[in-house]
Amino acid sequence: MRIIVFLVCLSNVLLLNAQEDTIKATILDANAQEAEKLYNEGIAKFKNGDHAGSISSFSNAIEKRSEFSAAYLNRAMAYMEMEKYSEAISDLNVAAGSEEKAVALFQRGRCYHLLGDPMKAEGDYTSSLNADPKNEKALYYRGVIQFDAKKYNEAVADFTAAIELNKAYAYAYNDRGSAKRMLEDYNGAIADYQKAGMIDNSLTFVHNNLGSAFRKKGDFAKAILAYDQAIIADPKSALAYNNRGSAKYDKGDLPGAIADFTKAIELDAKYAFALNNRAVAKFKQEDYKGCIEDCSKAIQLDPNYGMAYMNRGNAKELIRDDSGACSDWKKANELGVAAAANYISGCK
Amino acid sequence: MKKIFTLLVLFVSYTTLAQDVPFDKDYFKENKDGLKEALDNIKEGDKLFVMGPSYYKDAKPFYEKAQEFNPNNSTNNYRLGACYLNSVDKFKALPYLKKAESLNPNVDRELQYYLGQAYHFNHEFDNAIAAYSKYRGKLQSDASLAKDPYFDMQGSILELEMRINQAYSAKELVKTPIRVFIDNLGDQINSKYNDYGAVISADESVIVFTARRPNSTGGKIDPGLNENFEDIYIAYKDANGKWMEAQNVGKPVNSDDHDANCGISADGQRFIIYMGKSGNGDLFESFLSGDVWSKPESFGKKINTDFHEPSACYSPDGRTLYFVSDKPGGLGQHDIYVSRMDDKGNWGDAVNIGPEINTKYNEEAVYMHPDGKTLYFSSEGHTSMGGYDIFKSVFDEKTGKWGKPVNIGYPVNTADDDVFFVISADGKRGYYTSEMKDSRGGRDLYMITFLGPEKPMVLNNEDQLIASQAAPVKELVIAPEMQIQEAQLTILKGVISDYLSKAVLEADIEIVDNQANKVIATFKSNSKTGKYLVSLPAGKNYGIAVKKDGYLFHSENFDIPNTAAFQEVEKNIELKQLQVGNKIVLKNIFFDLDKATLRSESTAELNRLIKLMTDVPNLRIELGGHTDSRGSDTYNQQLSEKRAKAVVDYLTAKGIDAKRLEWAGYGETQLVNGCSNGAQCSDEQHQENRRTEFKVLSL
Repeated sequence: MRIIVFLVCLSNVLLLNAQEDTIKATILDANAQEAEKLYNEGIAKFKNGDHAGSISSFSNAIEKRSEFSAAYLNRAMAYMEMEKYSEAISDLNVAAGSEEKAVALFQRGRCYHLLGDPMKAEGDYTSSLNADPKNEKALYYRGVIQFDAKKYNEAVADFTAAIELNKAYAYAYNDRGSAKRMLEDYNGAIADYQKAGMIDNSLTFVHNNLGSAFRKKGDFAKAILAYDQAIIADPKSALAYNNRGSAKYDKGDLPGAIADFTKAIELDAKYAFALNNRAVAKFKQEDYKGCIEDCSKAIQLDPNYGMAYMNRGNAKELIRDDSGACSDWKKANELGVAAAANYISGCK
Repeated sequence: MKKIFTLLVLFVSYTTLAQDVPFDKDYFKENKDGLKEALDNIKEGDKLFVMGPSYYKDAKPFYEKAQEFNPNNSTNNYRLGACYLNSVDKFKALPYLKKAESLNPNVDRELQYYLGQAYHFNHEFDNAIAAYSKYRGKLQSDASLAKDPYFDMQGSILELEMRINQAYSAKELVKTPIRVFIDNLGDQINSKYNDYGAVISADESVIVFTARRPNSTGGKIDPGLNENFEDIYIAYKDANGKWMEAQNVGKPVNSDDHDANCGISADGQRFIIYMGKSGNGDLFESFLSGDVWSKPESFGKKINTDFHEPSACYSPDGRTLYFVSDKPGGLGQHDIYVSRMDDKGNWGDAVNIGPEINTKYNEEAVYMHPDGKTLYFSSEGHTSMGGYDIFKSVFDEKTGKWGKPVNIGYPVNTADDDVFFVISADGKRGYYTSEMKDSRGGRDLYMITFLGPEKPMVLNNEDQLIASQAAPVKELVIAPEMQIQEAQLTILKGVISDYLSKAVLEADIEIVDNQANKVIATFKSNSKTGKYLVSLPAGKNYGIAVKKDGYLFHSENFDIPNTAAFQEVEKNIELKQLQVGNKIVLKNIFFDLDKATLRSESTAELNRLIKLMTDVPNLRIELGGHTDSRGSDTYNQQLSEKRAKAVVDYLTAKGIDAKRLEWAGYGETQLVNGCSNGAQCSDEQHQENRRTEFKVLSL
């Protein structure tokens, strides 16, 4: 944008101060240039991470020039950085009436999305797409809303449209893979995850998702390979170790599974899932006491961990601690584990 | 090379086929005493061994001693294996039998039969099937056996087929074990002798069972089995739920002959007893009077026959009796029969319960669940995995048929006999007879705790299915910076004064954006000094009007292009009083090129003129048009006239009386500088000459 500024006030004031016997002149919209300076100052602060400062500068710019839509838009970005989405929405409402309409509507959609109002977010993404049909991000995020609403076919359609606009859109490939996975199209999911991985090999979650799709298919060997890649991409990913451990468990490699779960716990001592899973592997090895210990640790980390209660109950049953087992199953059932209800019927 | 290979094969064969070492002095010249002792033990063992399998357990210690002396004798290994197979430690038989086979595959015709059983007990089912098949082949190809009137070829083949089928069933059943705890009822109940056939009270606090113990009533030994006669025992639980020591119930329930517990009525007032003294074993009933059981009475001829009736149970209402008999006319060997009591209390004709339950093999140990429709029994047929297995069948009241018997599963059922099953009323525990590794001796009583279907253990995993949630991207795109081009200013300053007196004036100064026809600023000159100053950013055409009451307004035009550099312009303005004859140049009136069409930028100046005419109602003026010298005189004259008239027309159109307005075109006749025809002048100089003036004609 190249804006040539016509009106100046600052230099005028300086001149007037120098010639006191001279009548002051007032130029009506002399603030415009200063508004733009403040606007640029706001951008500089924004780029330096001083979001509060940038908001102040954009606000001053808006004060100088009330119809300054770019300043509204940028102030909204700063508010979004500070997760002040309601304030951002107010600014984007103004910006949406300007030539920045498509961008403003998209960003307002993001705000609503992040505020947990998918209906309004979807409306804004759609409006943004009406203003700019080539906004692949609006398509992508609308696809995410469809996914969250379990409208997987609609999600696939939006992700596909986003990919058509941007063939290197790794996120859209990943998410389309996930939608296909939910539709139990595991081969389709695998193909999309693999494509996402080819575009960006550093995305740990892509490898994880690929591994889990293979696991869903029952191809545990390939699942393990994919989780290997996730661990290479992020050697500190407790999630990846936990998943690989589960694939090894599925494959019958109990020592390998326990080693991975243990590594996950080392990486994240508060990872209750990994403790629960190691407990399951120990159960399979008929190490019921070890199983109970791990379940107890998982429960200590998450007192509402229903599955850990159920698993611990199952282990207690096999060491003939009937009352302990029943107590755990009842707790699991209270926490919403439906399967535990069947077990309680045998309790005194 | 070929020779080396041949030698190698020979060497391997020699080393893998160990030598069968006879108990012979030629082999044990250095230890004649040891040999003698071993031979004595073999002699004692053989005495018992020859009496049949019931005596094998007694022969076993003798063979074991001989085995210590010479472990490489095929016969001793075979017999020791056979003894183990008929003992509590039947699982230990296999290595001896395998060694016997390796030492001498033909050590005994029965070797493959026993090997089949040993493999079977050790869950080597494919090997068991192979051994049974091999043995079957041997029998079928043995011409002497076919002619042997004492050898039951058909029965033997039938049994082998049964065992082979059982091994196949076992292969499948062990793949899906049921979840149970199986607990030996302990030393208070079980003895080192056979203990079996338990029934349990509804609250599981009383157990009644059969045992063959040395203190049996009458003290007799069963010569066929080399065991004590059967007696009935009873045990109670103490306050802590532990079993107290079982006691022989004594006479009259127990007699000097076999007395076996079979079943008890739901109300606990009737008791079924098997007594061996009658026929080949009959069923009797004892009634409880107070705390004394009556002398057992036979169920009568409808139930008991000259054949074997070993077990029975009541229906929950006590009016139906399910019992076992091997009487002729059945579907196999021992079959299950049913008899119903008539209104007079007499048992009706026994009816074979039918082919859904009974097979061509043995059925035994029938038990009806308190629900009255679930029958538990033991069978060698159906899908037994070895010996007797426990099955259950549910009676379908709609079809009037028994459902297909279901094997209650491994590990309750084993490759050995599993019989006399009863189940608690709530179905959570069962009691049965088996012979396991923890047996106190022979068959023992066990309690089964059913854990139900497998309770799946649940792994918890998580995936980050949505990329933007796994690794959120803020997607924030800020509008770009603005390239601010500092406005180039023109500073216009000066002093405003009276044209004649030169006195400084405080006048109104109005800055107009001519293109926008918009007043940008209004201010006054200093009243003491008359000074003014205005900064005019580049890029606009400005009209500047200086006004003061009683004076003609003064207008200036500044066209400042974007590219104009900073400049300061000093412009002293002398206002002419509003007097007849005074005239001013209207510098902000613009026409289209070579036309008399007023341009929109002229609007502000024209409006000032209208305001002047309105404020001074008697004012009459002349509008004069002037051109520069370029072009023909005639053309310029006509153009100036048209332009002057155009201004007048505008004013009249805006409501100024035409009588107050005159117009004149002066062409190039009143140039303000020397730029006449032929003179070399700049555009700016020519511009000065192109003007519209007005002159005061009257007030």
